[in-house]
Amino acid sequence: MNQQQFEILLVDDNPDDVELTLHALRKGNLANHIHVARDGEEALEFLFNSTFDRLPKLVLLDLKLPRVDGMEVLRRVKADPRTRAIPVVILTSSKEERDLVQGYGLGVNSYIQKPVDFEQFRDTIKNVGLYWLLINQPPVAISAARAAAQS
Amino acid sequence: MSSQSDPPRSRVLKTLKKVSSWLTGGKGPDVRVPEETILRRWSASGVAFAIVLTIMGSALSWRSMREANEESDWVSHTLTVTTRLDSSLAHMIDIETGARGFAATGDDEFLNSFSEGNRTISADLDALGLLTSDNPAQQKRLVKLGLQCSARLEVAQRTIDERRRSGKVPRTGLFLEGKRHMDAVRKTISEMQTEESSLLEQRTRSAKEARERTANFVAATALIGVTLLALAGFITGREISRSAKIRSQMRTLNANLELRVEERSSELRDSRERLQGIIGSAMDAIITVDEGQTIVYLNPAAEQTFGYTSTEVIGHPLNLLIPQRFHQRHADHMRNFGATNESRRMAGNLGRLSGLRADGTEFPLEASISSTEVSGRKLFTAIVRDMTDRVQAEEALRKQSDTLQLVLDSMQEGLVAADENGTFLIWNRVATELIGRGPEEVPIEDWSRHYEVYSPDGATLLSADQLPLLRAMRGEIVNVELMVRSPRFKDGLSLEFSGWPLKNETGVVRGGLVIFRDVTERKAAEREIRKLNNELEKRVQLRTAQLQAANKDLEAFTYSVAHDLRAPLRHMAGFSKILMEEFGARIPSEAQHYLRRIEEGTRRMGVLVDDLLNLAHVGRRDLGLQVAGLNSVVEEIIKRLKPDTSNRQIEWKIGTLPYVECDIALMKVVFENLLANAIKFTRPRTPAIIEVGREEKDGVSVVYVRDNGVGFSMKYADKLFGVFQRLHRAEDFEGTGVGLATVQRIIQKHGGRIWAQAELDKGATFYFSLGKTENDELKANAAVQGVEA
Repeated sequence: MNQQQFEILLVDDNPDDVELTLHALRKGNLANHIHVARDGEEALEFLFNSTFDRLPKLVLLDLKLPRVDGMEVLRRVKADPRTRAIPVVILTSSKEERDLVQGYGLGVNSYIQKPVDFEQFRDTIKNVGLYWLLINQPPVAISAARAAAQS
Repeated sequence: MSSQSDPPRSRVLKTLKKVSSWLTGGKGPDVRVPEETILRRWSASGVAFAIVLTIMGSALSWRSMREANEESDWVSHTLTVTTRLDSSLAHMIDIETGARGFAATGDDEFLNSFSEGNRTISADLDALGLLTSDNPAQQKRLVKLGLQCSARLEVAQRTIDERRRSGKVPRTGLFLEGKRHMDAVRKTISEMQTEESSLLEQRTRSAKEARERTANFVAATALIGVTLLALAGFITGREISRSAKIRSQMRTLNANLELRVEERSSELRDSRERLQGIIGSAMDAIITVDEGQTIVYLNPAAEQTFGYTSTEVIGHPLNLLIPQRFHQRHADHMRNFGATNESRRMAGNLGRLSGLRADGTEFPLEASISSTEVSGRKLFTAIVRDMTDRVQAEEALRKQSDTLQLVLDSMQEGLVAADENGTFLIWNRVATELIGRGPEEVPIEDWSRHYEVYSPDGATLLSADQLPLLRAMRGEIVNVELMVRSPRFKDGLSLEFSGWPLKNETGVVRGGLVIFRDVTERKAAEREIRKLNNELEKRVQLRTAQLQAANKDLEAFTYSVAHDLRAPLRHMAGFSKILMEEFGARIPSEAQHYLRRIEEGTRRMGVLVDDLLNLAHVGRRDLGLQVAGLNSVVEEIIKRLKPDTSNRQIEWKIGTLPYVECDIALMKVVFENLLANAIKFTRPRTPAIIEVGREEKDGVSVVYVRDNGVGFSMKYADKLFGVFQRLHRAEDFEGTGVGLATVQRIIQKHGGRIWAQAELDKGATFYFSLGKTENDELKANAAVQGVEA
């Protein structure tokens, strides 16, 4: 696993959500390189204590997390020049105005409320994965670093 | 005789002394009188004195003559008495002779002379009695003479009787006796004649002395008179030369005087004409009556005032012009007036008088009356002024004054006005009460100190030039609050002053006026209110803190609902879906049915939770107001809802809707709910008719959404907008019972109102207004938001 290039970092403490999200990603053929962090601290550790060539292409971030919450993770990611360019998508149950404002204020790339209807949820996850991993064009630095690591 | 002449002489002397004393200046001539005048006075006095002396001399001469006459009377009287005495003696001799003759001869011839004597002697004695009645001594002698004569007669008679009886010559004794009696008679007559002669002599002597004195006195008075006349003549002579000069001057003066008299006469004529003119044209009525109160003259003004012509009233009693009830008073007055004869104004003494016009109306008048005497006739002239206008004017003025006083006294504010010199013109009752002092003559610069006017805090005495009244007198308009202390209000009263200048018609400031009221209580109340406000403020802050805490709790609750309630639902829905999709073929159809029910349940609950979150969200959301055309909002919602109605036949009737200031997102929620409801409850209708329009209700513009759906009974109208309240069974019409509650919440947040009109099976209409009616909830919300902000 260590050598594996992770495309997605999923940060969520709820195993049900993790399972449903992974199921949805799988259905979208996007579940090959996924690292799951069960809380904010784990997520930060994964991001900052590993070599930078292993940085994920996308972070799916829940907000309500034990120990270090989602907003703090977002803040740290967006505050560090090395991780700032990584697209972070907040994927959460709530659509509190407060969270939306704070999230975008901290530089989140997208904010998505998890729909109750599973079909909608599945479509949403699939679309998000496709968009950020395939359609969106990342900055050259990240691409170059990644290419170098792969080679 | 001498005693009778003394008194007039001493009187004359006394008079002379007095005159002399006056002439020689006993009282002393006034030193200021010029010498010429003194001389002229002397001259006049001398002449007067000479005349007096001459008169006195004449009087004395006349008197002397009278005394001479008296003396000759006395002479003749004495002669008469002497003659009578002689005659008596002669008759007695006749008697004696007769008696002797008869006695000697017996011849009756002798008896004739005896009888004659006997007859006349008593007449002689009677005459003598009368003549000597003023002389008691003579009377006494006369009585003696009478007796002696009687005795002689008796002897004579006896002698005669003896001759006749005896026829011879009686004895000698009888003759002797007769001779003796006869001698006594002779002696008495002789005595009486001597007495008379002596009296005559005495009277003649005193008369002569008197004549001499008179002659001397007349000569003396004549001398004095001549001297005085000479003196007067001298003085007059001196005067004459002076007078000649004066006379020529006098003549000139006289000529001037003549001229002036002529002028005066002409002036007098003019004056009389003018007076006639004045009386004729006088505004006041002038009436003249005679002593019998009969009218003799009436001027034109009087004719006009009383409504009579002169000819109608002249010759009639004055009472014609006086109301009946004043007749007695007038009569009394005229009597008094006749007694004092003083001109006086009757109105002053008699109160208001009244006159009586020809038409019977009365009018108030003022009269002054005077009396004159013309050709021995006493006339009274009254000048009468019709006081109707003045009485009315006075009445009006008094009324105005009373009204002003009433207003001033009834005012709840103090009012003080002063002229430009600082003299108080008005100082009403309340002013005295509030200031605690009345208007007093205090110099303006001492007003502040005298009336104890302080700054509002009561600490510093106001400088005189800052007094509201003085500022007003300077032309300022003043509104200020001050503190005024007085013995009555030692702690002072807070007075609120309004002042402004008093200006005359040309805008010149002629003084100032201030009105003030006691605001002490109001100030106290204000302090109390401030205190209460502060307390309230604290309570509001406390309450706000509590509310904020409650809000936080609510936020935490909704947050937790959002996360913690939604998440398990999503899981249930997700896993049951996966189960169906991935293992559906291997699951018995009955189990598949239950799985679908679970799926459906979780879906419904998801909607419910989302709706609830929406409702909570609306309550906490701030309105983002902007102007929006409701037609575009409605069109957008219909477009969004259309996919769900593809199998329905719906007739949309969209009218012209207004542009309103609103939160567009929330307005969309409103129409989404109302139109979704309309679609839902018209499901049994073909075609469904849904109408959106605008109309005026009670002057307020309202928007309505009407459908021809199943409607509802108005019985339940009050439950329509309650949370979780549903009027239809879930199997007939799905729903959460949160939609209309959310709509109402949004409308109320906009300051509007929503209500419904419906009938079971006959459709429903929802009306709402925006912004026109602010209800309490909105205000409360606004207040809470204000606090939060």
